[in-house]
Amino acid sequence: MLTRKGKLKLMNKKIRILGFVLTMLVILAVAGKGIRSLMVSEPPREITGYQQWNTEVVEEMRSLPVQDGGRIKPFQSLARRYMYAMHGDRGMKILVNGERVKLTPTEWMMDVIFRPGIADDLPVFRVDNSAILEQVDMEVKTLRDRYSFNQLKPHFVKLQEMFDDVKSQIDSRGKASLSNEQEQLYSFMQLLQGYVGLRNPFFIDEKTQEQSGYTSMKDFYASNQSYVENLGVAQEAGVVSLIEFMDGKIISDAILMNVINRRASYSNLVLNPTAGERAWSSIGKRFEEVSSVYGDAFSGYSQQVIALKEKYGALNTDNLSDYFKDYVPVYKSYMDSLPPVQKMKAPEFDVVGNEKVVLERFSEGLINEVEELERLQLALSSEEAGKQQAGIIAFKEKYADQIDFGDEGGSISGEIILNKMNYFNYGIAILLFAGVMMIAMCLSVGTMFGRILYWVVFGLVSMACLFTVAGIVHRSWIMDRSPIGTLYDTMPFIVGTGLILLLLIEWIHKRGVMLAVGIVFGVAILFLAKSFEIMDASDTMDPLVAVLKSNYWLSTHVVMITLGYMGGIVAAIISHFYLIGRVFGVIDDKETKRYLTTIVYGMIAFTLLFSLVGTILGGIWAADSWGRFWGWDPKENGALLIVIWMLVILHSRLGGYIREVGLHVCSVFGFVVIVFSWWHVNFLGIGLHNYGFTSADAMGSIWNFYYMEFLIMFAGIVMAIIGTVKKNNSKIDKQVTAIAEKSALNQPL
Amino acid sequence: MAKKNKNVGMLILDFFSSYLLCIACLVILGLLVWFSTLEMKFIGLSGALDKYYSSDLDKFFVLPTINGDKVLPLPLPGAYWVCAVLFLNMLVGGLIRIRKSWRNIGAVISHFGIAGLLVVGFVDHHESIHSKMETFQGNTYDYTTKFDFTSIEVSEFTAEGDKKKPYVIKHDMIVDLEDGMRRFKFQDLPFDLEVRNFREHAVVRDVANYVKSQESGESVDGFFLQPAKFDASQDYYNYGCYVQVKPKNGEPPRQIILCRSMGFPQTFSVDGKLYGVEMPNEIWPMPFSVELINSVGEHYPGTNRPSKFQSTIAWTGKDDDSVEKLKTIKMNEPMRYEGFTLYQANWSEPINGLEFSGFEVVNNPADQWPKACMWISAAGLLIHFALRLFKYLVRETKKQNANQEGEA
Repeated sequence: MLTRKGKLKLMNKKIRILGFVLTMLVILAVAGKGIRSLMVSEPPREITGYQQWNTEVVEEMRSLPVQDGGRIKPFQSLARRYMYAMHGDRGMKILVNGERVKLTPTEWMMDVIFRPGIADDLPVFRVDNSAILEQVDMEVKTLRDRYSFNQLKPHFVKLQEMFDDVKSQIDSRGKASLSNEQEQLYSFMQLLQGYVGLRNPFFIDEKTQEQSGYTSMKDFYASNQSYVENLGVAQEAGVVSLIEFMDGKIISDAILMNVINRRASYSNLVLNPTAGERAWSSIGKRFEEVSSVYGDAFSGYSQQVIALKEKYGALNTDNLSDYFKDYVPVYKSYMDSLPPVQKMKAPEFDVVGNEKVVLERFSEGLINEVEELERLQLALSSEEAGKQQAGIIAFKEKYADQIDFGDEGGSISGEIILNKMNYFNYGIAILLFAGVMMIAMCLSVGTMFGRILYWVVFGLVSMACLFTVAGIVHRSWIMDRSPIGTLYDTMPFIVGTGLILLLLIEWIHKRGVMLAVGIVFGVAILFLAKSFEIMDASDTMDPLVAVLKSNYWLSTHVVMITLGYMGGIVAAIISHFYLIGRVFGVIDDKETKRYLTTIVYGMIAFTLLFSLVGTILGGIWAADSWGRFWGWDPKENGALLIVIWMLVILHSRLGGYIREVGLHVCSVFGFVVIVFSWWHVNFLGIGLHNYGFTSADAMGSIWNFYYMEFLIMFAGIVMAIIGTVKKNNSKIDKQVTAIAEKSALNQPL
Repeated sequence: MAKKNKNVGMLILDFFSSYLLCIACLVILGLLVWFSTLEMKFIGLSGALDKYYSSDLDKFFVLPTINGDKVLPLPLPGAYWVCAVLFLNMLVGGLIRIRKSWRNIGAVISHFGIAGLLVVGFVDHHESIHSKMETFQGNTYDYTTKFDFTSIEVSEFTAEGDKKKPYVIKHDMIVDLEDGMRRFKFQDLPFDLEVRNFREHAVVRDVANYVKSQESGESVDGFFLQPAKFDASQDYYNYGCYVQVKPKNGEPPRQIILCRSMGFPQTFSVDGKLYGVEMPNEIWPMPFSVELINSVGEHYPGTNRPSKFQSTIAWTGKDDDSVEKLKTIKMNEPMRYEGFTLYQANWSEPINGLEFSGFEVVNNPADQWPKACMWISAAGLLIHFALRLFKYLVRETKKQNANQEGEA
């Protein structure tokens, strides 16, 4: 039975714990707010006439195999990547007849491709800095907002002019000379152009129809047949009509091919099993190859024809025969330079007007693919769900069985399950729930309920760990490689391995602290991974470049370096708990202080071991790949900095230059060093490990993190100074008391 | 009890073996690595290497720069010298004077491994040679060209314009001729060469459009050699010099300007024969010859991301020249022979119908040492931390047992 004094003491302890927990929550909230401030939160807009896709149709479409970024993936993954890049979110909220509807990436992408008329009204484009739109006299409401294609359309000309200026600046002074605003405009315009390419990519717009005379790709192929058939008619009308007829065809083709070439680079949507090639290339790529050769051929042809016309002037009966003799080799050369898939054998002219035309058949495959695409388009344009679904199924049956994933691995169904499972999102949710239970546990310290809650939290953190590890294994299985190959991969790996380690320590000591550390650590890094995936908008399962394709080195060097990061981060988070806990007086007993210090010391040793061995292994890999052990590349330097800092901490501790608080302050600074190595160097835009993106927002977040850490270190140092002063004062007081007592004793009675 | 007075020698020894020196070296090294990484953005990798990691005594102190232009008034010793002091500290404090007990065995082993790594760094810095070999299908190569080493090549040309075997004046023989002059005599050639005004980085200018500075040499046929500021971000030294051809038959001498970037020989005639002199990278004869059989480069579909670069070569060693062997060199799988290593460095689509492959050829006496150092360091750290963990667990168990007994 507790006395009144005991109850007050317990209450006091609970209040301090609450203060400590609230401070940790405030830090998390500030970090979350920083990321949240990068998001756009506008109320959903009413989209008049929007019709939702049938669920089964969307389900079918999700798993349509596509070729994108060098690997075969489900349509859903491609749609997600585009939606992250353009919309900056995983879904799009709209109002349909007053009802709130959330469009998935697949549904949105289907709108863009198959019914662009509706898609153009959707608020797709996220603009982070509305100043670029104000410059083209657009009305804007907030700094960050989303706009539809139709809202932007009236301002295209001005935007294009600004874009051209930026491009010329890049050409003359390099990309580094761009201001943040120019960089944002550049990226925005690239996305806008990407969207234009996505809209209805296999069909020919009205303007091109008018100029070229072709209404579809099928028309184009058909025209080649009729061209040959009508050559005879043109001949009969005379040589001039024949030349005009041939020129007309070439010009029409060139106009069409020009449009296709422009669009083809975006049309990576449907696979084309190209016979004889190592991997499947996309149909867009095939069109691009064909049309670029067509464009080059036409350019050479037109220059020569212009030269001929300048030479002969107006054609008449006197010069026609000579002109034609010069013209025939030009025409033959044009025909010969066409790609095999398109080529008609050049007409063989024996005498003027008596040519023998031999038609080679076009590639059956390409024609069939175009026809299949048009069939798919027609099916999805119909309003009947049954027809839509049947169209997709027919298309998949035709191609999906022929997929060859090559060495890079891949699985359409596996990736669909991965996308559906959302392992890391579940991990965050479970950890957040564990956090709530943890607060309740802190407030029930010393009770049976508190003990039950302890095991509930332990179970939840273990479950989050399992989800994270399952996600890592699933991704690794799909990619058929070691779990870490990209920057994104490092984040779940750090969480998975960190949670295992923390749970082990917790299992041994059962103090609850490591569970709290695990919750904060797991939520922060998994949330970072989620934000990075959306902001970077690149495929997180990109195939690896040739030099990185080594499972041996990926499993040793990269894994060890990442384990080093994990050790340093875990140590730093424990040190945060220590420093903040001491400021709030939650951690006041010697035993807990020593316990936390010992764990941090152990984690620093762990970090040194893995960082050192990982860094040397990286050097050995570099020596095998590039011929030099050490090249002072920024990423190598970052890894070396971690090793150096861990050595500084351990030697300072051994030499007695730092004690408990000093160790924790140094450990927090270790976090700064790790973030520099893990993230900051990637934004420098130099070196072999450069990831190529330079986002001002991301750099801003990194600097905010540094400031926050320096603030915590400063608080720790101030606390250490106050502690030392207090200790000294108390020593002096004791000495004064002792002297006073001594002198009192020496006083004569 | 009064402390025993130490002599100067002991004090120096104490200083060199102290934790404080170790910490100071590590902190300065950390600062140098950090500043150099940030500065690379502005001065390039080779600029940063030259500024922060040079072994030249005249670059002993470094003044870091912030944002490419603001000089920080914080003179730091160069990383090379900091590593040298750290090595000494580790040798004296971490290996010689460290208390020899079973508790410290791990620390001694790991110090030995890390000291070894520093030695690797020194050997690599001073002894390794990097060169490139650009090969075309069907041709045989028994030499490479060294990075950043120039030379002067003199050769006779046949009536058909083909170059005969050249006479080579190596980099080391001309690099000190910034102010002086050196005469090179060739027994089999009808002339001598006088080389002077060697410049590490220079450009050829025409008198009509450029004003000569004091450092420029005299003009030759309306041109002169203008010393230029080395642009570290370009990572290229454009060496240049003046050469005077002195015919042995008494004909008047000819003045010639040479520059590395010219890429073709300057020709002249002596005794009715045509000769050429040029300034290419220094040739490095190899103890083997290589013929490119084929090269394969693949990219992921629809991207510029390389998925595979590899070359198949036929090679013959110097001691077994009758035996030709085939070897496939891939990324991460180089060929090693007699201390030389051939790496797949670059690849391009066939040039004029011939397949092409670029190799980097490196000779580094410390090539395989890092592996040994890594195992030693890792073993040392493992032993050290395992012993500490064991000690901690024993202490904790004892404490728990004592607590349980107390509760009982």
